[in-house]
Amino acid sequence: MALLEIKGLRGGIRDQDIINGIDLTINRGEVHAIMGPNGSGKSTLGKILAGHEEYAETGGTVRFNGKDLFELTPEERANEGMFLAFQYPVEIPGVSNAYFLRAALNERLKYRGEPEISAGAFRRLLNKKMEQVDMDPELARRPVNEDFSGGEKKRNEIFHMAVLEPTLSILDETDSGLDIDAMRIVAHGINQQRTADNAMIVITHYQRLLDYVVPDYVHVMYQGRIVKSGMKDLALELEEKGYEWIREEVEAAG
Amino acid sequence: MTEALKQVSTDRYASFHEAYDRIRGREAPLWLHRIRSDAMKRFGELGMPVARELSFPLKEDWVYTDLRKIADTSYYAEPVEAELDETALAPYEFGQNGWHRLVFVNGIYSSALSRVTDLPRGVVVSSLADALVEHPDLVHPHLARYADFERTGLTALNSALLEDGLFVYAPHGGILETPVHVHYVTTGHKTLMATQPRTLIVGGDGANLKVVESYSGLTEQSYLTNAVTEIAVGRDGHAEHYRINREGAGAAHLSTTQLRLEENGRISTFNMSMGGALTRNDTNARLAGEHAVVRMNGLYLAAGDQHVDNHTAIDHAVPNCDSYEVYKGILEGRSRGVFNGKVFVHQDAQETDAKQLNKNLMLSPDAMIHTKPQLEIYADQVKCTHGATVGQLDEDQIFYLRTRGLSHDSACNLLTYGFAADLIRRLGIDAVRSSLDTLFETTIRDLSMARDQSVR
Repeated sequence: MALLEIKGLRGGIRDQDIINGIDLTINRGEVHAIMGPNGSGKSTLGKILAGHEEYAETGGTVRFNGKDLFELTPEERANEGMFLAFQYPVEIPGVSNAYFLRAALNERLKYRGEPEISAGAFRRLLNKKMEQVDMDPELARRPVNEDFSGGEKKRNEIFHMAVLEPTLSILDETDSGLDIDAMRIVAHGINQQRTADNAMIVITHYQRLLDYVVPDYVHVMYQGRIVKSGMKDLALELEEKGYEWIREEVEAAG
Repeated sequence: MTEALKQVSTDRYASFHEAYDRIRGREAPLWLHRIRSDAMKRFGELGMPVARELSFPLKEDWVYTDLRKIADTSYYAEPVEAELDETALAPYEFGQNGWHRLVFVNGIYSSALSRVTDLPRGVVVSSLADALVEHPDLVHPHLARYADFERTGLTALNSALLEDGLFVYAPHGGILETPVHVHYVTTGHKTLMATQPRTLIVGGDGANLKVVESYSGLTEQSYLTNAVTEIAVGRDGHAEHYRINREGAGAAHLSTTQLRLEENGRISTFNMSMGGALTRNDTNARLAGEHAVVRMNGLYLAAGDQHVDNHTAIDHAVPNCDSYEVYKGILEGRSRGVFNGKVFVHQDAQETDAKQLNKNLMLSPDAMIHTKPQLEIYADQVKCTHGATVGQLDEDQIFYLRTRGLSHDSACNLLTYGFAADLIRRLGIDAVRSSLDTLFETTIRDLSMARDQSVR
């Protein structure tokens, strides 16, 4: 069974469709990159999948873990194993990263009918994950994303991902705003999480990140559709030629 | 007409007059008799500050908090003996061992529940009544010198009926490392009772003190607490003060806290209001010596029909002083909140640095807040800033938390907790910080569960 199966998905924000019919199947163990020019609907797809209330599907089906995704609340999707790494991570004043992650982890365990994690076990888990993604322990003590630099916020998203161990991660422009060193660290963190059991959707503008997080498949979105799919070489081709030829191809076909 | 009015007001406060007559009959130093009689006389003139009836002086300070019902209630003003054991107090403790603790039950000092352990040389921690007998020379120069009963009826009432409370004194250079916890507990009575707790905290030059002042109600009944606290530190003196209101659901809690700082003095005060049906706190500071710094923070949480009013006033009387003030409020249900922050900078008080912030989180469309900064600045070389915000929980934050697996309710609770935790995190005493942290977390969760049940 596919982990995620999207068929004929349409949807958007306030009665305006931004996604105009997407078909995409993702299996465990796969990394799919979604590329495309600004405004092509990449981030909207991520938000619809994660269940943002301002976004809604208007057609098509999505099955996640065999369940109808649109029957699930955002937290149920998360507890089923979905994770959205935000392009602009949100600040939560007054709540430390560690405190928050423990609450999130316990919600997940509760959802699965498992007992809560003990303080000691959680501390050990946190230390292990901080090391894995090269996270400054000081940032775990500080309130979630508050006064973090842009790079620290992105690293924190990957840290959350590492602790929550999702089966499907949607990384929404996780590379944006990062210098090359920060991107290497983030990419390393992402690669640490790749297993045969989970899958990732990497949404990005640029090929750059894909040098480090090498995808199995690359999809190009344009005007709310996937207009081209290929292997990792497609990303290189895009980098070389830009998005203009995609536009031309689409318009020639239309 | 005048006669008729007078008649009403005498009837109104008859039980307070009776209590005064009883207290006046007791043996006391002449100066204390004087304070009581002057204060009673003044209370007779002022009465309680009922906005619609006052013409002068403080009417505008009482526009949003209506004391008519309280003024019209005939409270039982005599001490009421009640048995209380340690276990009843446990939920209100801070999990600390070895702190000095004084407990007053319905206004009466409980020696069984109180303990004062080893004190540094010259330091006094005792009930005010004991101190009046044993250390009148230490009490006399300070009692009723800071909280002015000429100006407000409530302070006049407390001063007229003052019998007991906490007295803490540290002499020149005296350092009281161990915090003092004074706990004013009300257990209720067959009639509506009133207490007048009085707290006096005095530090000499270079002294250092920590005091936690708790007000707790073990009854759902109506009762009145009318408290006055005076805190004064000398040059280079430090005081850390916490005021925790966990009064019973039917309580009216009226309080005045008056701070006085001399040169290079530091006072931090934190005021937390959670209990009571109606709360009004007046917290005032006078910066009387240069380079003094006062920190005045507060947190209020109101739900149901609770009403909570915080009036603060910081008086920059001399140059080069700093005041920092943050008050945060969480308002649920049909609750009402009031914040009025006055900062007065005298003409001579150049190089004043005054910062004030009031933030309110509204959890219900029926809750209401009146917030007003009130800056009066007569010096020209000053930095004075103020801000007030009224907001709701942020949808983007809620969504972010939900994508990590938190339910909508848990996300709201966590954000509400975070709003308050931001302030709690800065508290100076670990035991206070961690117990208030836990208290807030559970209270917010209980509130949210109550809300869910009322929806069903």
